[in-house]
Amino acid sequence: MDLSLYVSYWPILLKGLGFTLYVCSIALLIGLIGGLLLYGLNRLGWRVTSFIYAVYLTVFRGTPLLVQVYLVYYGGPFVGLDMTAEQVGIIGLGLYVAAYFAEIYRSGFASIPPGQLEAAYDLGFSRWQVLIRIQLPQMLGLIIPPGVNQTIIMIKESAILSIITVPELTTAAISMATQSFTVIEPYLFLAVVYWLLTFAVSKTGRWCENKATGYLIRT
Amino acid sequence: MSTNTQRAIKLVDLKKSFGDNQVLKGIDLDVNYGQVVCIIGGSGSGKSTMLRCINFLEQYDGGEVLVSGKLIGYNSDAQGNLSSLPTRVVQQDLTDVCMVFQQFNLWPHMTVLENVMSPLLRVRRLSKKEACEKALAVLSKVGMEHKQDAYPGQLSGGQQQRVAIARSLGMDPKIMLFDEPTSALDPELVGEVLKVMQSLAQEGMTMVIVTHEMGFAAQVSDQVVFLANGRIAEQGEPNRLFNEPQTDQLKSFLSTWSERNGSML
Repeated sequence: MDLSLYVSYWPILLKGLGFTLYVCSIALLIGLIGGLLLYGLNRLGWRVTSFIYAVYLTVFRGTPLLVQVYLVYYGGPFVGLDMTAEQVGIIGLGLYVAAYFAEIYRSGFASIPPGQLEAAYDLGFSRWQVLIRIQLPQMLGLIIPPGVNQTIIMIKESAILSIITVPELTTAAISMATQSFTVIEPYLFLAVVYWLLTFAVSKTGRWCENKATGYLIRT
Repeated sequence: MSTNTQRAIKLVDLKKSFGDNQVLKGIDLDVNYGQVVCIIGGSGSGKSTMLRCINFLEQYDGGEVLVSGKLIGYNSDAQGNLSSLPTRVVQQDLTDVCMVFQQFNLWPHMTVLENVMSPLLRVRRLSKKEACEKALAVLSKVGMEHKQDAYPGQLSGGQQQRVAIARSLGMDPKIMLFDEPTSALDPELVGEVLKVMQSLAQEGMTMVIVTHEMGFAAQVSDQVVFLANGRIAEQGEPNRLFNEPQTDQLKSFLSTWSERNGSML
């Protein structure tokens, strides 16, 4: 192992890491908000909106992210869809995780016993008060573990964006590998950095979970 | 008319179906203010559904539910056509009615005190100080003020049910509905909940109780109603009903019960 390689390549790698953090943050934001909108669409209960929800889920959960971004980035120009690699990467990753987050929200709301809501309505709570006072505080705690899980998967999936030349961490490591004719140094570096990222997310998630579900711990 | 001359609850030919299954096939019942009425019957007889129609947790699809003379859930025009009322209005009409559930239905993310205070703050719009005083008062009434900072998950079933009763009492209901309040409890915890209910009955609270506690029903109720297959099969004073059942259905219901529980009363 030649550690001096890192000395000469650290600016590229650091830039790649920065871009990965940027891509994942925006995609997570799109996923969190988009997932909520999708969930809301489904909750409306109209036939049209439920159909849109089902189609969206089938498409984005049923096909590999690799195929999705490849199709849009390289196939897009043929149907007049001209987007940069960064745009396709960020939006693609965001819409992809939104499908998963929508289901996470759904499971979160579904795991609150309906009797708790009945009691609130019986005491005179409005629909909005039930949402804010009863459902959200519990649901937010319940969705943290699957949400963290999904975020970790997303961070690792973001490596796929190197295929369409998004200048993120994996792209940087690949260019280091091809330029220096090495394998171990760049890919070991990749493994360690992705592990550090996901480890940080997992620890943060655990901390939030303890904060949010403290009431469940029995004395 | 003043509430004194009004019936607390009046059910007229109440009907309710779930799909093809007609659970209530026409129930007529009068409950006066200050009365305690116990509803007994086998599982699937429609007891809980009937109770849930009174505070409109189930939308009935035939007949009438009147609380203090007011039609609940629907608006009746001059021709007698019914139209659904918005939830807000239904809740308004049911301000005086509170339900206690089999599964307590406390909110697990709030402490005991917060559970009782929350509706006082959000629905009654009391100040924090007023709500807290009121909450502590009703909690001490059910003997739970010493657990005000505990979470529901830290309490026994009996304690949770007492807190749930306190949460309802905080809203100053005139009528309380109990849906099998002791059925989810371990046998040794049933007594503490029944004791609280008994003291409410003695204070003159109007109560409709779906229960399997025959001894309790015999002791506190002014009227016992026996439901079978979605109809009232028999009703009357507890003494008469338990000692001289008229219908075969009630006879067999009571004998099954005493076989399992030994001497009944």
